[in-house]
Amino acid sequence: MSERELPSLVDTLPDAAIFTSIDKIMNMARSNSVWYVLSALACCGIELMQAGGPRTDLDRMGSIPRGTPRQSDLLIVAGTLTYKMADRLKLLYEQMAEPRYVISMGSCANCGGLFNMGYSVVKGVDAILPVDVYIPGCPPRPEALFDGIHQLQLKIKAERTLVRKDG
Amino acid sequence: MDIQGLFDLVKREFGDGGIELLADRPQPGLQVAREKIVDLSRFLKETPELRFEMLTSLAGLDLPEGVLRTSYHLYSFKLDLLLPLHVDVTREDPKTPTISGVWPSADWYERESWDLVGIVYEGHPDLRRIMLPEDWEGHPLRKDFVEKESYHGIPTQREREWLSWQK
Amino acid sequence: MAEVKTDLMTLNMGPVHPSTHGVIRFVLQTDGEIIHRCVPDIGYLHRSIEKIAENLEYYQFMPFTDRVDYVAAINANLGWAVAVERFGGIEVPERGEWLRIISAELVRIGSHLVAVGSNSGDMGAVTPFLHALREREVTNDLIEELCGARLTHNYIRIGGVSFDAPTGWIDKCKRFLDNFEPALDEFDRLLTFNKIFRHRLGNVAVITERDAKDFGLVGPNLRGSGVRWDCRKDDTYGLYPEMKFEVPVGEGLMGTVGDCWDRFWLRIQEMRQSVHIIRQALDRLEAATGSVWNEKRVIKLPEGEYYVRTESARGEMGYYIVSDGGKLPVRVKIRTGSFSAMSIIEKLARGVMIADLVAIIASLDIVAPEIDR
Repeated sequence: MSERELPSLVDTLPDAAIFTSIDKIMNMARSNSVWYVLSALACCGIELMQAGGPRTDLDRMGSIPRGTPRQSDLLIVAGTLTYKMADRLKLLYEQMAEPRYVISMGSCANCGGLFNMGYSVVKGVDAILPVDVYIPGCPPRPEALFDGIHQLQLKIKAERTLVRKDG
Repeated sequence: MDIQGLFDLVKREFGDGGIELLADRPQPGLQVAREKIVDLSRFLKETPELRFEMLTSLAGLDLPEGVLRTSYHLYSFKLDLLLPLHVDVTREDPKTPTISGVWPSADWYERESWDLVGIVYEGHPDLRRIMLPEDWEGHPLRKDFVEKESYHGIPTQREREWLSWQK
Repeated sequence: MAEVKTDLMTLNMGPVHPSTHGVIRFVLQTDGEIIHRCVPDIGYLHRSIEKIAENLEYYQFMPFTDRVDYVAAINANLGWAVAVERFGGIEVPERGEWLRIISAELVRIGSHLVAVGSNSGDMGAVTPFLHALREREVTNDLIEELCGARLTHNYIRIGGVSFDAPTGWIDKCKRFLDNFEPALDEFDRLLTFNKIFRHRLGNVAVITERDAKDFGLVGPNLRGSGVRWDCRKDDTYGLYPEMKFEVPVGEGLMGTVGDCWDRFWLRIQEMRQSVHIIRQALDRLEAATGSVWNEKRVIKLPEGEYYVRTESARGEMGYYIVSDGGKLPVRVKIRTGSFSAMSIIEKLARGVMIADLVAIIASLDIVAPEIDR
């Protein structure tokens, strides 16, 4: 009776199993479903609304708008921040659960923008919040917002949760 | 009816003092003393030949030599006439009677004028700040407005000095 | 059954809420679902535009007028240009006037689409919002070819417009208008005469003619209550006197004159009239030649006060300029339709349910920057 050749384990492994690290799987899952709070303050808010619309569809990246900060990971500050609004925006940020990210969209949120001379305008949202991605423009095109969220996805994919750098 | 006919009607009702016709302007109007503004408004609104039913605009101004002015613009659908009225007060005594009993739209306009210019409207049902936060100090649209260093911990400093109000 | 003792509940409809009307806040006092008192709180977008105007020359202020009403920016630009030109004695060439009319009416269509779309989105019908945005994207494209920007256009200059229409633009406009009228009819079939929509909006928040005039309402809000008044016909500017169009008013087809349904229906009728105006203006533009901008670098208004009004998408936009004869204005005040519309909400919202309050805010077509400037 001839010996039946069993298929070698090493030969079948590429079809049967995937090798990766837990960090990579977690980051892939997290970065492809970044849900954002609709914090549309001013003109950039209209571009944010149109970016979620039919032509530039943010939904294909997994980002959908949520009405409440409790269910979202991302705060897109779209528009001019005034002193009267600043306390409320900080409250909104603190209500989000970690890990949370902030995108500053438009010139007014980056640095005060066109209204730099104004007495009631905060000169940039990074006076009160830690910002991850800045998107320039007045207002930025929906494609620029798409690119900004893509940069955020790359940043999320580079994070390390399980393996710490220093032991 | 043109503005001269209107002024004759007003003079017949109110006598000579307190109301002058400014006829040589591109948009002729009336300069009114502050004691007469409420009665004049009611007369202009309710007289059947005039019927100034809409208060189109109410603006507070800060003019040189310490004069604070409130400019009213009334519109009559019947006569198709836009009539400006001006009431001047001084900085030491910035009180004007309110006309929110005659036109309810004056309610919010007068709150805005108090907030930004600092004219006090006597008899107003609820005179408090509308555009700026409740604990803001100063009236920004005055020519000598000086900004504070920070508001609720957020600094008001700018990167470029030439944009600052304090010259 | 024993009576249950209830108290009034204070509810906060905060500055950030899932609707596109902007950052405005209401403090409600409700008894269950019925509102007893509603106090609006504004000023979250006060960007000190009027103070900035005192430090800039007249032609430098144009980009700020975009931001006063960013949904229909060319109308606000046009108001400022007309205000300075009328008393500064500056003439506009004919081709510039036709381009002004065409771009202003295109932007008015875009703004009414957002108003109508978000009105339906707030009522719960999410799909018509995307239909409206699809059409608005085409108007955005047309204006972008003309002036380079999708939203804050800065297209009108004092003395004309900044760029001429590129080749082929007029045909693209005509093709858009041919596709747009069937899309409006489709919108009507889907939504306007829909039974749920009629019940939701008819007879809600009736604004009488006397109230509308007392509170200073303008634009579609005033016309919805039966007052036929339009700045383009009654206080006219530019070459609008040569255009033939009608001014629709609310007639109370599905309820009372002046209810929310009237204002919704009126905006759709106004879009149809705008299409009519653009068609006429395109024909006149093809026949006109010459430059589009009569450029003047030093603009000074004579000493005095001037109040000039033009018809923007939300009603009459008035610019009150006080000048002392120099290059910089002493005071600029911008009168907008949304500010007056906001002041009537407190009166309208007594005794209605919270869902009706959302319908009221949406039907008055309020945008936050017009209120706070």
